[in-house]
Amino acid sequence: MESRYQRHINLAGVGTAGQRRLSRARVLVVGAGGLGCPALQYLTAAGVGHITIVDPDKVSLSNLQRQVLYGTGDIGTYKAETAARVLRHLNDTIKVVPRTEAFSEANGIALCRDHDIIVDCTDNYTARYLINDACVLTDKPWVYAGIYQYEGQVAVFNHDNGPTYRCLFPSPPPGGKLTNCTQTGVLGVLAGIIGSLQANEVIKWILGIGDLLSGRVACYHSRTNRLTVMRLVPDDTARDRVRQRGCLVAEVSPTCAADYLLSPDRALAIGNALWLDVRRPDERPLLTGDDVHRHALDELDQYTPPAGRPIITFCRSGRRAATAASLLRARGFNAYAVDADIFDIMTRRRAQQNQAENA
Amino acid sequence: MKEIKLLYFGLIAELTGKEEETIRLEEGTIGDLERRLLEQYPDLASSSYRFAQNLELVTADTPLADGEVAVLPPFAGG
Repeated sequence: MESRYQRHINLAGVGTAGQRRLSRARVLVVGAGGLGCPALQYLTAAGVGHITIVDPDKVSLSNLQRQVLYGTGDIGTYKAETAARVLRHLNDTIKVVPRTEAFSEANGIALCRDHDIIVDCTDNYTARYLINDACVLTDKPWVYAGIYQYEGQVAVFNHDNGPTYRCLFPSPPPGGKLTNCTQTGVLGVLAGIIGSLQANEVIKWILGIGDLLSGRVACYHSRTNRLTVMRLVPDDTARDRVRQRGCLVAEVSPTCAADYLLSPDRALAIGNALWLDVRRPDERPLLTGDDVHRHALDELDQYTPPAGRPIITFCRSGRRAATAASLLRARGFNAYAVDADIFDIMTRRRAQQNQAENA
Repeated sequence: MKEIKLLYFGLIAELTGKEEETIRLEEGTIGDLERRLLEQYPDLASSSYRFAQNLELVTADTPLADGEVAVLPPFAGG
C-alpha cells in the first residue's frame, strides 16, 4: 500500500521508524510570519504529529509578499488560525493547534514544557530572549532564525548543553540607532529559504540524524549566495544567570523607530510595567489597578515617572499614547505606547488578570 | 603588521557602507580592532555585534590572527 510518507520511508536515515518518530513529535512554532509559513508547511508535510502555532497578529496586505500560507482573502484574520486551517488541509493526519496570543512571561514556560522542540520564527528580540530563557528553564532545544533584508541567520540553541542565544548575544541590542522597520525591506524568498533551513534542523533533531547547527551559526546571503558557518562555544555563565533568575522576564528592545508602539499582547507581556493613562482627566477611567497612573498628555512635562520601570502609555485610540511615549523617550525614560483602542486593552488586561487568578 | 579581511553582516554592512574591506593593524587583540572600527565608524557604538575570527566567535581579549574577521549583528526580522 502506498503511504503518504513513502519517499521518507524509502530514505536511509528515516524509514518507518523515523517516520514514527516524526508522527510522535510535538513542535511549537512561535510566529507564523515570513519564517513561520515555510517552516510550518514542511513540518506539516513531513508528518510532525503535533504542531502548536503561537501568533497574536492578524494578516495584513504587506505580509503576502513572503507569508505564503495566506492569500488576499485572509487579510484581517488571525495568522495562527488561518495557518492552522491551511495546514490541516495540507495534511489531515496531524494535529495543528492555533493560539492567538504572544509568547510571553505568562505562558512561555508552560508552552515549552508541553513540546519537544521550539522553533523561533518571531520578528522581535523580546520574544527571542523569552524563548531562549524559557528553553533554558525547561531544558528544551530551540531553532533560532533571524532575517535582515537579503541575509539570514540560523542556529540550534540549548541542545545537549550546547550554546544558547545569550552565549552569542548576551542581551538585546541597546536600540540606540533605530532603523525604520516599515521602510526596511526584506526579500520574500529569503524568508522561505531560512524558514526551510529551520524546518530541516527540526526534522534532523527529531530523527537524530546528521549534524545540527548546534555550536554553530549559519549566515546566508541571498544576493551573493555566501553561506558562512561560524563556530560558537557555550558560555556557562549566560545559562547560569537564566537558571538563577528562575523565571521569565521580558526585556524590551526597540528594533526600529516604531517599535515602541506595542500591540496589547506585547504590552501585557512586559513585566513590572507602569501603565500610564494619558487621556484628559474628564475621560472615564477604564483601567484600574496599583500599576495604573493617570497624567494627561498636555501636562506630561510636569510628570516624572518612577525610575527603573518600563512605562506603557495608552489612550482612547493610541494616538496620544504614541506622542506621550516619544516625549518620555526623549527624556530618557523606557516608554512604550499601546497602539490600540482602550477597550481592546481593557479586555485583554482583564483576561490576563483572570488567567493569573485562576493559575 | 596583520592583514585582516573584515566581513560585515546585516546592519553593520549598512553602517560601514560596505560588505567587506581589508585593513592592516599592528599586533593586538580583537578589542584593539574594535576600537579602530569605532573610530572609523562611530555609528557602530549604538549597535550590537560579535566578532568571529576565521569562522570562530571570539571575545575582545582574543589575539588578532591573520585572516578574516566577521562582524555579526543579531537579525531581528522574521
